[in-house]
Amino acid sequence: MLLQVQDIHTYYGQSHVLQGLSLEVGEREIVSLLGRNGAGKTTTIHSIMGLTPPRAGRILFRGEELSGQPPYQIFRRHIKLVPQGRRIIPSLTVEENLKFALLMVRSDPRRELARIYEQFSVLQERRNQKAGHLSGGERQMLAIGRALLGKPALILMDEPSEGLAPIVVREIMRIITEVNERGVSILLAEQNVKLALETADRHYVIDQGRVRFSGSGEALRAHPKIMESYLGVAARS
Amino acid sequence: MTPQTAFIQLLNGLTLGVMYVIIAAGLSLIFGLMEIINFAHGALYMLGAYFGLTLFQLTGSFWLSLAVAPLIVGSIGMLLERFTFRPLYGRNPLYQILLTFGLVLIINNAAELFWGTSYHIFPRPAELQGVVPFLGIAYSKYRLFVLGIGAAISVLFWFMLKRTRLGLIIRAGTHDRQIAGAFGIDISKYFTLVFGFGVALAAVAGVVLSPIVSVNPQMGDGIIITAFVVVIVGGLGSLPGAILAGLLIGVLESFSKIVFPAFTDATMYIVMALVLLLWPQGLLGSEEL
Repeated sequence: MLLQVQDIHTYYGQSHVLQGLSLEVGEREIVSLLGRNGAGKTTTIHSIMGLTPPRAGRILFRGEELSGQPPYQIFRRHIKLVPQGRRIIPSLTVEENLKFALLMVRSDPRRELARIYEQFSVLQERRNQKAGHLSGGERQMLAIGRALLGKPALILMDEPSEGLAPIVVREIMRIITEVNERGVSILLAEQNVKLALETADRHYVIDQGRVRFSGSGEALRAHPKIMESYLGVAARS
Repeated sequence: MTPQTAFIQLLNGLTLGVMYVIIAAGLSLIFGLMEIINFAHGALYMLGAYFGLTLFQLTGSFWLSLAVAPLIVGSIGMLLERFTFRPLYGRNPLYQILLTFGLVLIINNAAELFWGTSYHIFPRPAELQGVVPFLGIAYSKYRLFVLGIGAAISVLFWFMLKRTRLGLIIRAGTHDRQIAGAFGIDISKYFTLVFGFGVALAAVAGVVLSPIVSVNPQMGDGIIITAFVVVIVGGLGSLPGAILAGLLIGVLESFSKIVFPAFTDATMYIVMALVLLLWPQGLLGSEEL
């Protein structure tokens, strides 16, 4: 198992957001983390990345403890973040955003940049433009491109489809599948259930800080009540 | 006012203004990256002047004082960051403000204790005394030097921000500290360096301005207000803003001394009020604040 999250409790100030959450991500898997707003998806991602360390429980990566380590050390284990809302740096150019993400990567920067530009031609076209001028979809490409630098083993993606037009979402999903085919594991937090069902191998449904369902897409579809109560998705006949 | 007088006032204003820029740039850098409102910035500017004075009295060399005083103040700044600011990170921001107030009191009183309360004259170096013919007037060589060094430092600062690895880290870390961490940067390592660098800039201004304003225990108190006004008018975290605002306020103050002397002290507050009414985030400030 690549990533093991074991019974973590994470707080946001006084709020007990994650109440004993456990999940696993294996090699070369895309695993989705589904849930409504406030269910704890982002907190889970941030707990793994060290941005909001859990107060209890363990997080293991390739068998080693991650919990309690600061984000910059988790990054060095080749765990990369595509945050909610993209969080690119608007006052830096596209290329500067990528160069910034390359500062602590141990590969040849020019080769890495070339690789990303080859995969995302729009980023190459806009390489010298301020990232603040990019559209939502382009920013998402930049955020994903940033996470692909170096040799990521696990990418944590937090709602990549949020705020994007369907045609752009299709493209993002294609990229995610392609990245996974090259051997990268992905933990995909999403509110868009349809999307997750089409892209991920396995699914976790969380609600109020705990896993309520874990299984394949078929199993999830076979439990319409879960989709309704935890995801607010109307059952399909 | 004759054109010559106006030109001299303009130059005087730019001279003072460019030093406001240097001080404000350090303040803005510290605030932008570390979110510290460094009220002690003026006291450290004053320390720069006093160390410069003492070094000059010991060595007779203005240039040595100019080079070494900022290094001393920068080192003090780094120690302050490491041992007084760092324990307060992540806690109530009020503690930080109280800390900087406390530092002002300590530094001011220490300066009085060590150097006394009277004004000290800091002579201009021999090479920079006298006047020089300049575009139709005879202007102080020293003030032209101040203009030059201020411009040079501003350019170097801009270059550091835009073209170096450290500058990239500062620019990104200022915008989003968490993301910097998520991409492998231990940003707290840079805090010490940046704080030291920011206050060293203030110290440079302290030494450079001493021959013009004289070294005295009150010099920090006046300058810190101006520095904050410059940062607010220019826009928090904006270097071009600090440049524009610093020069603008310097020039307006300078003209005010001749046109409306009673209002000179109020000039910068009037400017600040007007700017904030029209551009609440400062002249070149960004929306994110």
